[in-house]
Amino acid sequence: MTDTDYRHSLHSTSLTSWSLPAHKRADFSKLSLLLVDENNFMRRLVKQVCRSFEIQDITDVTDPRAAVALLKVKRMDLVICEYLMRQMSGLAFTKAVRSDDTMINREVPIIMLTGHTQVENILAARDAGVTELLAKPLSPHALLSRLIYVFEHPRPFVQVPGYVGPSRRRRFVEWRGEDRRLSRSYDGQALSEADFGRLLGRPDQRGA
Amino acid sequence: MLSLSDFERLIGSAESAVEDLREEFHKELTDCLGRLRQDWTTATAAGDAVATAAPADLQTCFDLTHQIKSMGGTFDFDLVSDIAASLCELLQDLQSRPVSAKARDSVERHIAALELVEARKLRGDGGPFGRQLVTGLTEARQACFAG
Repeated sequence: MTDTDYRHSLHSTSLTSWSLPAHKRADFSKLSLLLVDENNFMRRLVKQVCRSFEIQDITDVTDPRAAVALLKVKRMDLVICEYLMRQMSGLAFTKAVRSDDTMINREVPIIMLTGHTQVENILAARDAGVTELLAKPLSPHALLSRLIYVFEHPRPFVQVPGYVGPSRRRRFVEWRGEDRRLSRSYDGQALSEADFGRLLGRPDQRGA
Repeated sequence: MLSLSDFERLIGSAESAVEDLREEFHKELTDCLGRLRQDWTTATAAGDAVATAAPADLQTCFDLTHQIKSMGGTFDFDLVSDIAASLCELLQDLQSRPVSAKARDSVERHIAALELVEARKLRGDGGPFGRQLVTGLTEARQACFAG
């Protein structure tokens, strides 16, 4: 793999929400990870893989309800949870974390592992506030790429009626047409690109 | 951002970690297959030629099969994954239909195939024999609901 391929592979995976301090971004050994999966073998597998990524502080929990309780009292940098759990589904778990405004980890990135990758399940995960979905079978390459992407490309955290979680927009496309949004007006008069250019000390490039 | 060499070092280390769990994977697979056979027997306990299995029992079988499919992929047991994928489709179809004698036979053939592949620890897709096996099981599954 070339360096270009490597960077492309990271960008082609997908995105996330939340900003981690720079010293933790560069070094996974400083991360605190909560692992939630009812299946002992899968939990052990993911834990071993994460350990080999040099994550030292790993708490693994069988019961997702206990995981929700833990997230109320202990600060975590990342959660990896299973989609299919009997006591509480991965979606319900995510909603419980996102919807509780007393939760100290409300904005924590949640990577969900699933073998159910039908479109409706992906959309449901997105709408529950899942940061990243990782399709099974688990591969170290895919998991590491997701981890890097989560911390290198944080998405803004959104709280609007009906949704709390990382912004569901994955691509931010620059709009080149006229900006007619009312929210951009100030004191009754819309600011133009030229105004911004002047205020920010940038030349107006429309005529260029 | 991690450098490419660090990325490759971490992947190498993780692949070794997965390899270290291979023996445990075989135990887990054997255990899952034992539970699957038992749960399938429970699901079709009525013993009639045509029975309606309880959706909850079928769901248990489906979840176990799905787990087998996922684990197989991680540990290069593609043949296990392929057979389990076919069985998942069959069990999903049975959620909304009666379990005919043909369907029951097809499920049992899938389980027996998984047991055989596990017992022989066949990695990869099983070669020409493996591909023929999957094709045969898929055709038998499709024939359950044909006509």
